[in-house]
Amino acid sequence: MKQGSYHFMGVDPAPALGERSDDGVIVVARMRVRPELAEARALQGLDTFSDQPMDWLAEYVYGYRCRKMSVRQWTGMIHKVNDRFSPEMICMDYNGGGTYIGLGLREARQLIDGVETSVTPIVSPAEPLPDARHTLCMFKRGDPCIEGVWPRLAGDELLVDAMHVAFQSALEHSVLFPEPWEERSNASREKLVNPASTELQWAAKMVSEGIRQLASITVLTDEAGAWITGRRGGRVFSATGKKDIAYAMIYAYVGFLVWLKRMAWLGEATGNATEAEVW
Amino acid sequence: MTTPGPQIHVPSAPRRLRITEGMMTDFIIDPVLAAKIIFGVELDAFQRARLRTYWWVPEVMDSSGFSSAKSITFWLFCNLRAILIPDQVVGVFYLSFEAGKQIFWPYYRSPLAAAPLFRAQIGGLDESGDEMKGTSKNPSCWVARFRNGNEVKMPAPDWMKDARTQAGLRFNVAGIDEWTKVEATGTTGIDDQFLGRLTRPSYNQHHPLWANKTIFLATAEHRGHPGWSRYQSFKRRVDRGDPNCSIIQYSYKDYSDRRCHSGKTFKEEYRVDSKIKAMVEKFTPDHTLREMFGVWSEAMRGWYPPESIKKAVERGREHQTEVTLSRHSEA
Repeated sequence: MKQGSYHFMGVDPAPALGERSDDGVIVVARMRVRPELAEARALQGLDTFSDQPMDWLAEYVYGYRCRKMSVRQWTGMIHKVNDRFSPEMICMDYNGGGTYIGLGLREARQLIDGVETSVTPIVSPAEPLPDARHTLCMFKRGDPCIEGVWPRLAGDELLVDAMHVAFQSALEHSVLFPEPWEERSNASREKLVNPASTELQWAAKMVSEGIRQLASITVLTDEAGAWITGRRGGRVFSATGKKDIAYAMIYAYVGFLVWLKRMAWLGEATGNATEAEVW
Repeated sequence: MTTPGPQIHVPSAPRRLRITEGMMTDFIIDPVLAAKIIFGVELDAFQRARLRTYWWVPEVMDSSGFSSAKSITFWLFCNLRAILIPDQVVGVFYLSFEAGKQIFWPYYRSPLAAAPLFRAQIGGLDESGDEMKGTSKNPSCWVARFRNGNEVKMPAPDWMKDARTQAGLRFNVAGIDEWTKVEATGTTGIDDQFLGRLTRPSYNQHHPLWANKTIFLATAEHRGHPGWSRYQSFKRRVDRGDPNCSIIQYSYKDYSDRRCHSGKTFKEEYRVDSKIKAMVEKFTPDHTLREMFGVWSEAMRGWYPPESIKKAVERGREHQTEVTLSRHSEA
């Protein structure tokens, strides 16, 4: 485990029943304070934690595509990935069955790899449920986590707009992608070979596909190239082709922003709160 | 005072200018043949395809580009329909009455309309049995009449009043030229009034030939245009394989090297390359696609710059970012 790193899960759920329907995707991003900054602050005897998003590096380390899965299978899968990465925050789109999956995540018995397993329920930080991980953030207006980052937005389109603006800035300065699958040498690909499972290779392929999907996200313009906005003033985003992996990547980053904001608040409230104290 | 004597009925057209039953059967099946015999017009290959699409598909959206002979094919279609299909009222609509007068009606004075077989079909009798003029130009509606009782009507549109003035009219065929410009005025006339007028009884409303027809003519537009939703609705039906619906897109590039009536090739006769080149130079690539080639473009711009994505990959290489299956297996 990399020192001082935090993980965030982005989930774009979808039933994915048909060949051409959207895929359901789980992505994990690892965040850490820029090493040079952390080093400089450590030398000065300061806390290395920073509440500025641009002081962090966001590395995309895992991707998984889910197709034709029931709500119970979805919740099992999320719990499985949750056990592996222990993310600080899970940000999930409420569309595509996200609302039901969110409810299912609070169950203490989950079907993981076909086996009924006892797990710690995952709920929203606002829920007063004991013995649970309070890490679930639903990507929608009105969710307490989202309201913390983007309060009082007039419409859903403005939330999507704000999300893309935040991630565009992050992509410019802080995001790190692993080598895209198609650019990898044979030696690099062989490193991912595991006789027991092809999951690592597929994770690399998923992240590569997500990188490609990011490039296909477009915003509507008029003839002169000026933005066309919706009724509430938000830009209109779409994609040429699928966009689910890219959106899951962005949700993971949104989860990070939510967590960072919460940490900053709690830091202010309690002095120098650490993550352990917060959660 | 009437003169006593035998009543002699003279046929309204000489035998050689009559459309016989056999001809009628062939013409109904193939409107291209009908256009050739009735109007003496030789169409280029893509124009033939377009005319057949108009003829056989009940709802057509023709988004063909600039200078692709939409108007003349539309005029031929309207008149062939009035000549060949019994009990038809054809409605022709333009953004303004003046536009219709300048674009559609002059064809009735063109060499096409001088074809004897066509002239022989024009006209009709009024309620007292007197010969009427083939065309009449009333202030609110210009009408071309046919001897079989059919009519081609071009009413003065009033889109600003949501076409309420058309409320009493009923048609078997209705075509709107520059419909995207009508939509851009913000009127609901196309939906509320115009399409609702296409309710005149037909011989068989389920048959692609006899069913009532709608033709939407205009070059393509972009996604932000008010006409986009109608195009999308058409496209969804076409994608589903609905045989009652078609979107066609021809361009100046479709003119062929076949010889036309003048002895020149269609390309040489109708494709004005210098004009087209000037327009292409003036237009943005997106505008060119829409205006010249009939492509309904999204007018989109990428949100995540490729350079930023490339930089993120470079940064990943630098920091040796790698995929992993768990927090604990990270280096």
